[in-house]
Amino acid sequence: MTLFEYFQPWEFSPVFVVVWLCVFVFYTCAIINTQAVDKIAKFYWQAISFYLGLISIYVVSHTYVDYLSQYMFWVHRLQHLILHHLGPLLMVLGGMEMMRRGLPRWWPRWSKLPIFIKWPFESLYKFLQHPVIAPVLFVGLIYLWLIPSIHFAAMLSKQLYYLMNWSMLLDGLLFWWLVLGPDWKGEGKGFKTRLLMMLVVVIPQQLLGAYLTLSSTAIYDVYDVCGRAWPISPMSDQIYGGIITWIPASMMSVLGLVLVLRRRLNFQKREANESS
Amino acid sequence: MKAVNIIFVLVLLVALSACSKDEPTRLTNVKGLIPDLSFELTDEDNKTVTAEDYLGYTVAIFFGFTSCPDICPTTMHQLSGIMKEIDSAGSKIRVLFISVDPDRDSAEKLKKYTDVFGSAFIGLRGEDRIIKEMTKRYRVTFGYGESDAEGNYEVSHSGAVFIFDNEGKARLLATQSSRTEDLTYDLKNLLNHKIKVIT
Repeated sequence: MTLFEYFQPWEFSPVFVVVWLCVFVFYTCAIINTQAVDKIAKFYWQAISFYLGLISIYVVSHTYVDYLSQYMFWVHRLQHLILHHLGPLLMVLGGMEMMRRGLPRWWPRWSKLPIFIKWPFESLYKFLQHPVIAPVLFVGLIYLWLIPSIHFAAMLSKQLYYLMNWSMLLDGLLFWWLVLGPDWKGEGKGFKTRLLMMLVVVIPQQLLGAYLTLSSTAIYDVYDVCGRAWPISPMSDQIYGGIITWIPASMMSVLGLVLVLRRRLNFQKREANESS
Repeated sequence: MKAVNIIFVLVLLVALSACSKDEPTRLTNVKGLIPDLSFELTDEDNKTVTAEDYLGYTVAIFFGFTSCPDICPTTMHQLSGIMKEIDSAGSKIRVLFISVDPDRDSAEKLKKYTDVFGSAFIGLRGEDRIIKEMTKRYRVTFGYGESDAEGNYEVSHSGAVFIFDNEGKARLLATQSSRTEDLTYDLKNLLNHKIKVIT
């Protein structure tokens, strides 16, 4: 296989390409616009983080990795780790809110939209971003798509497969936006909630990962039904997949915890400087 | 706010119920889920054949290879036993054994292999690219392991049997864990047009 073939999408998805191109263009325009107004603005690490997130999500959704994810359980777990945990976190840390400044002039401003359009979206958003609902949804989606019968259907039907991956990506973005988005600068209000949210999502993920890793039977027969990308025993495939669900996924929460603490400390330092 | 919650839950439920429809079949009913039978391959007599050539037969397809140590022979024996019971004249069902290892599976080798199971078993082969396209249509795959010193290698492949009705429409999916009596029951019903068509 040539390098070009590795980067070719297994199933070409125009929706994904258009959305990802728009996000890329708007963010890049935002950086250029900000630089033009404020020459000393520095956001190298933010830009790196954002593009890294954007590219990693593209790679797992629209290249040879997507093919492997459909025919190898552990690659599928890796794909979801990036779609749901790492990619969205990198994008949120990269200052996704900056994108606003890159939108073209004719783009309708949210605040100017009529109430009957805004209301349903805003109430849905409020519901999804409720500090109790959001962690439940974050962990719930991981469990939901791993229920053997649902997992079977999702791997066999193209539409369900897309629904699964889009739901993971959107939920990942929403969750990390809630925890580390620009709405919280490090104030005391909301600090404990964020710490708690990071902690409560760890345990169920570890339990699930441990269950998959230590289970003595193959749980997902869809990979035997559809065939694996290369010869590997079903048990090793499941163990690798379990470990990916277990360790890196919970380490992401630790990373989230550190980032929440850091933001709080920086905020306190700034406060102390201002008062002195 | 409450109304929104209820709508959200309803949408979720509808989305989920689509995955667990109750069908009157014992095997997985794949009517409408999987594309209809369509291919152009070479058979074990080196003749070019297409899906149309098998219209009128209930067709079972299986992606395997003749050097397969376990899954392929087990599945073929299972099917062979069922056919003796429900189609002893061999006039209604065809089992197409499509090789995912065309490099090693020559037409002669395929013929020798399928003849063991009965005259209704037909080996088909094609270029690697064509087989890859065909497996993609049915959302299955195959892959090769490293060759050893004698040039032998392992092949990973699908263990599924896709069953099409006599019009070439995908109807049933049997897996390694499907029980022989369930397969017999559903195949018999399919032959007698007793399986409800759900669209």
